Amino acid sequence: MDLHHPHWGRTIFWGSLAALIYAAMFYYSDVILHMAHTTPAACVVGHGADAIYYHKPDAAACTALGGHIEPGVWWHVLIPILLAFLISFAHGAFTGLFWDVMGLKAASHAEKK
Amino acid sequence: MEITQFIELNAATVFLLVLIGFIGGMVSGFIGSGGAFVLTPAMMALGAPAIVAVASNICHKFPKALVGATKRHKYGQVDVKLGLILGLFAEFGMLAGKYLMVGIMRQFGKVGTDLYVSAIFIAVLAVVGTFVLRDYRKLRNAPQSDTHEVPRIARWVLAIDIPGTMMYFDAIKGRVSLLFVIPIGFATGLLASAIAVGGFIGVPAMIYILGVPALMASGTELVIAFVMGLGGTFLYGLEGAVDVRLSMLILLGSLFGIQLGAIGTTYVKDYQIKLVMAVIMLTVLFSRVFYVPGYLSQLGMISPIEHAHVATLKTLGDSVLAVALILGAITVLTALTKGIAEHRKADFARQLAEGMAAFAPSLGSLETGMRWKRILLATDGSEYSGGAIRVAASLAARNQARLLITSVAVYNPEYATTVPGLEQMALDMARRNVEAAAQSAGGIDHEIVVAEADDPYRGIVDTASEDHADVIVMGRRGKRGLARAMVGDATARVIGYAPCNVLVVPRGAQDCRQGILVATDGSRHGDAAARLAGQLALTWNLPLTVVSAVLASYNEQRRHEAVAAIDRVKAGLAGLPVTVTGVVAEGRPEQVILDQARKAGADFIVVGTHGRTGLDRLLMGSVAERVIGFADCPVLAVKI
Repeated sequence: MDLHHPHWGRTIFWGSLAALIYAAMFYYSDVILHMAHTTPAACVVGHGADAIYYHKPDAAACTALGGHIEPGVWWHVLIPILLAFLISFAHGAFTGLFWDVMGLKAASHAEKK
Repeated sequence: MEITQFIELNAATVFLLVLIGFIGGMVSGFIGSGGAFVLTPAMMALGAPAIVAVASNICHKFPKALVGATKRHKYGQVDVKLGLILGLFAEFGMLAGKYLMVGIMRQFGKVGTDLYVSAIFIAVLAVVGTFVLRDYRKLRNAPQSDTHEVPRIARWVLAIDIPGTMMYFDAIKGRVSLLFVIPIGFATGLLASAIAVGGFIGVPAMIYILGVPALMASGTELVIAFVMGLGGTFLYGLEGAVDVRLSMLILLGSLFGIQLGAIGTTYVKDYQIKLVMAVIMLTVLFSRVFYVPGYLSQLGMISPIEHAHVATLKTLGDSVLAVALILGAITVLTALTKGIAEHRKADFARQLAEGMAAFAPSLGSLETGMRWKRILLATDGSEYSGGAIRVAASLAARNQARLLITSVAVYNPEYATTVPGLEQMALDMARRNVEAAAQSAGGIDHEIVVAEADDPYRGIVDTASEDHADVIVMGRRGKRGLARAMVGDATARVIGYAPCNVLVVPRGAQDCRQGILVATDGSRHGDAAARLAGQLALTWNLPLTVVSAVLASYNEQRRHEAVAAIDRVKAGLAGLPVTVTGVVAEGRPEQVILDQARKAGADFIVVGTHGRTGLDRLLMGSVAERVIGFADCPVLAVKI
């Protein structure tokens, strides 16, 4: 580990940002899962983290299970796409610098002439 | 109604997912085959239904593909048009695959899709694994890479002219019928929808059927992967099958692993990588075989197997998969630690030898100024490096300095698929660049360093710091009009992060013979530039012009500061045999610097840049950047 490495600042910045996005994702994971499951129409039985989702819902079967039908919202599909971009960018920048700061780098091939 | 349940996450599954991502990433960075063929079955082993495992895997891949494609495009290794067309038809393939998968799920349930995915895995890994094993034996016996030769099938395909379907592609520098391109795209998408790795078909097909060079094929595959991944995530997302938590946990580990694996490849031989790849592929294949009887029995295709036996078989399959992953991890880590230890030993020996050489009598005239002892010339093999080669050779001769010539083999195994000798090709190209530069530099004593990095600037900066270069000499990409105000990305970043000063040489420039001009604004950066310029003028026995620019809006105090800055430089050089002329001129700083250089006949400009950390372009300073962009002579960017 090189404590005087010029990339320390950037490594900490991107690492904190990535951690923040991950924390937010898990904090709101119930909401995110709910949105993923209700991208197509779904029968939702139960609440929060314990909810069970049935796709291609059938009104009678859903009522029998004690659930309710939620119509699909297509744009929910954009959530994972956005998250993937965000995390990939921040975490990618962080890990790219991480090994460098740790002192690991690719070998170079030198020869004298 | 149908249920697509996501797996429950607890501390253990989170840890396992990150670990699987890490090992999968490490293996994929090392063997360069996307890694998804390890990740999909691993997610399935943790209980994710096949459709969720494939969808979540696709979701974690596409942003990485975009970053990779953008990077590789800069090095001319991507045919965007071919990638987009293949990607478009891959999308249709993906759509067909998704309907097939959803259809199977409706007809046979989760177990049906599990069987479908497992069967395709077994078939594809058997074929690809065998090919890789063959490559390994070929490479071990003859490790030299061949130059690009159009394969026989590709020659036949390219010779066929079907009117109305022909299209020109840069990658093959010729026209090919879309009737050959479309099925490749479709098949790539179809495969990706089932196992999340389309590259197994896309890359070899581009190489062997269309005659695309391997480096270009693997770069173009990233465009397909991006288009397909984005489309795939969208399509599977609409079915509610993307578990973004799963994708992002895998990504969390895999991004760490990929970098480590990619670094690992630089310490081992190409055929060793192939062997690891073949062994892992065949082990994963073997692990999937254990699940098949259970699936077949549940579907009623064979006589029922006792539940306990199915469970035992599954445990056996999981264990074999775990062994494959652990085996991969151990191989990569061993290669890495062994390689690093050897590299450090060699480095230490070299430093020791250099230390001994330092006791030899010095040839330079240090007492009269300063001398660059190690000049690092960075070349990319393009015409734009011509000026840099000329000037670096001349400076090395004039300073009796050691000339190090480097070119960066830009290579990121993460994005390569089953292309034989991809890394070797990048290394060969870099080697050709340095050899051409060495030849242009004449018979001057030099040392060649072929650096390997995923970005040229990183390779140059690392070489400069490892080899203790005093100055980096590099070219500037020729741009016209307003774009000239912006220095190329690689140059800007090298200046931002280099551990030493950087001399940027335009294509047609010659070494400094007439005079030096330095710009100072009175800041510590300006002072550092002025100090160095003074020393250079003294060493090279050339006149020095010191310029300070003032804007019309400046008040009296700031004008005084400009004069004081020049006086400070003059005072520093007082009594020394160097002619110093001071000029305070009104106008935009970059314009003043360039005008005064012309007027004074100076053919070497020295400017200060900001520190070595932070955002590269911002900290390089906009004045320095514009001067470097517009000057016709070499510009030395001085760092504190």
